[in-house]
Amino acid sequence: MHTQQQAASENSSMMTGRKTKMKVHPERKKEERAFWIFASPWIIGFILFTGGPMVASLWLSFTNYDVVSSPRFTGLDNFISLFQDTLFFKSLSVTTYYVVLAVPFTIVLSLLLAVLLNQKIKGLFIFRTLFYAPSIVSGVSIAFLWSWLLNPDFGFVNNVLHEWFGLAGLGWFTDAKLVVPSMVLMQLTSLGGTMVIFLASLQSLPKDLYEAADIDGAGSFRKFFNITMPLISPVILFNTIMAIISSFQIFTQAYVITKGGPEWNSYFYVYYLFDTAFSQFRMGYASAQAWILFLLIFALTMLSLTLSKRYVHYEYTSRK
Amino acid sequence: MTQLRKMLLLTVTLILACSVILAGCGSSSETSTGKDSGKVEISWLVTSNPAKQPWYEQTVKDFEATHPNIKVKLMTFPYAQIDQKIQTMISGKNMADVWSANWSEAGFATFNQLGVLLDMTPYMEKEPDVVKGINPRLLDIYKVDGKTYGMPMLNYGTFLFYNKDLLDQAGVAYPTTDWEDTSWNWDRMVEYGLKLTDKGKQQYGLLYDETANKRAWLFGGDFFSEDAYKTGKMGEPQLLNNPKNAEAIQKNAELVLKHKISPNPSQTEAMTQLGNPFMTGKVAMMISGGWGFQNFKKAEFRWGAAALPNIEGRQIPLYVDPWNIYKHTKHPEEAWTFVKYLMDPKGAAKAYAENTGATPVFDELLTNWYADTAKAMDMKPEQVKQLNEGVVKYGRESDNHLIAKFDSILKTTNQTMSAVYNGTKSVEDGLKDIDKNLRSLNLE
Repeated sequence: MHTQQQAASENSSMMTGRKTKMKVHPERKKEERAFWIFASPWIIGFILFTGGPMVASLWLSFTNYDVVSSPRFTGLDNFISLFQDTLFFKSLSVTTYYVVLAVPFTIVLSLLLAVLLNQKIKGLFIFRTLFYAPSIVSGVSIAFLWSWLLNPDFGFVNNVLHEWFGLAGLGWFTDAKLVVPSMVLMQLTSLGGTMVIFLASLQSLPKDLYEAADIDGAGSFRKFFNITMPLISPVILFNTIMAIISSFQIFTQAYVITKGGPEWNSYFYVYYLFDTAFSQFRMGYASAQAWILFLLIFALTMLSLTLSKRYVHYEYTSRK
Repeated sequence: MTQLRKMLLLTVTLILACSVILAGCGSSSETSTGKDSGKVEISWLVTSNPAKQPWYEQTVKDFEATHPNIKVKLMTFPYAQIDQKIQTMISGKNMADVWSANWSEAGFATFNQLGVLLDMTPYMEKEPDVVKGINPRLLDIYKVDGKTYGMPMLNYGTFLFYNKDLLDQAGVAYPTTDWEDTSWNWDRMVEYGLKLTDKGKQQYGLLYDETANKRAWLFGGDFFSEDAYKTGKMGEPQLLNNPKNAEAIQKNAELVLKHKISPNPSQTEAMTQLGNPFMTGKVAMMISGGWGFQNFKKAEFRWGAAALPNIEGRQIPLYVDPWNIYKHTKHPEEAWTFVKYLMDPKGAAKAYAENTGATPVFDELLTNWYADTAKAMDMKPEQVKQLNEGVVKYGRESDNHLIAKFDSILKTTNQTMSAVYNGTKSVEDGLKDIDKNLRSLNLE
């Protein structure tokens, strides 16, 4: 599809190029107008609610703005004080720690889940629904659910550990060393979205390669690692990048359950940003924080794309 | 490849963009000039609360009936959203004309520092009768540099609530309502707590869910300087300068770690998530704000209220909510007229006290309130009067209303305090950490 589409689009652009030189076909012109009309709600929305504010926040990041008085230009002051701010580095380091744990956790588990849900078994429909269901529940509810499951004194998990295995429970959210891993564990109920994308890609894989492998006598593992993995590698890349982005933006769990504690060990980057903006009224500083996060994620995305060239195969992605 | 990369980039940009900007998506309310027939419209911002809603609506209706040329637009928002709403309205320069600065996380000092509160002194000088019958101590709270920026409308003190059933079972006498009684001291309270704690039933002797600074207040300590409360700027933290701070925190940590009569922070939080822990009947004594008088009326057990333990130099938190006027209001005269109406002890203020059960500030309303509250607790009205007068005598306005951006200060403090109450950090190290972290807050 990809190559075909590309060819098609090149083709059509060549055609338009040629036609503009001569005379634009009235049908063509009509189509173009229709395109702009249909796309306009999105374009206007983007400019007004996304593009505009982004430009504004870039400007604000060089100012001192407390919401009431008008912004005062301060040059690079915000960025300079950010790099002297211990809490900034603390929040960046706990967030990075979370990303490093959460991304592999999410990708491996949701891929595993997708493979399981791709088997031909009875009641598959029910399993798929069940595993996807938590994804449609709001993040706050999920966070409350986990705060009760993992509560050190009254929580279900610690009760089970104690009653069945005689183990002393863990201080999931109260132990400085455990709080980030606990939040990674909470991702168990948020795998649905990633899992569905994997599942879709698994279902579109060509059968002939597997048949050939069967004839050659390859086992399941061999088939998975030598056929499935390379074939879905573009999807893995996509999911990894999306996971990196969403993990860097982790907020709700900490806001609802730990308030950033114990001792700042779950004070994630966006949480700090939220506090500077909405409880300290320092919009300029917060905008600077937002732009540093933007650049960081942008750089990481570009890095993943560059690195991916070596591991990602595109030949078969869309062959049915 | 390029296709996928483009798609990725686009998605990345979109998602980031959405997260970068949270502000600017508030409602844009109309400017407050009603154009028809020279009528003036003012807006009144309140937090949504089913218990108060009838009063809000009735007040607006009655006010408009008696003031035909002023229209009041009632704006209700849930408490959880109110800070962002106010922020958006202030930045859009269309803030409500009348609201209560303490009905938000930000609090009086934050708004005063932002310079959005109207100085009401000239109006008060013209009509001094508006505040007649209010204890001068309460009037002083919202005075900054001799100027009054808020009219007190209610006054919650801090009291020790107890479960009479549990105290009877344990065979201990009800604690006193007399704030001067020196026999009711900290050690005595701990003794009570020990008798009333029952681990087997998951019953705690004492629940004292209070911030570290206010725990220090009870022992005559203070994390901040006198100036901080006057200017609204935190300034130099005083944690290590006053030895009473360490003493207070030590004694409080012992409640959890040594005497084991109080739950630790995570237990407290888990209990609070299910509703007020006192209402479960598993807490024998609870130190809490005066809103307990209203909330505990629904309890399925008998309960009462007492003075806090008598400690030299103690300072007891008060929660006095003011009515405020937006400094840049287009109709200051009309806004003042409305505030005056809200303050009327024969009208709206009386209805408020009767509807919500909140402790009124006017002497003439207090008599009724004493009688009602005493009835709910099966105590004498004189005892409730003694409680309330004592709390005003030893009371001072809550720190979060007088020091700007206090929620950041509080969060910084709590980060370390939970480690102290869990026993993983010593009191001394804890205070040092908090001192250091507060200094690096750069609150301007």
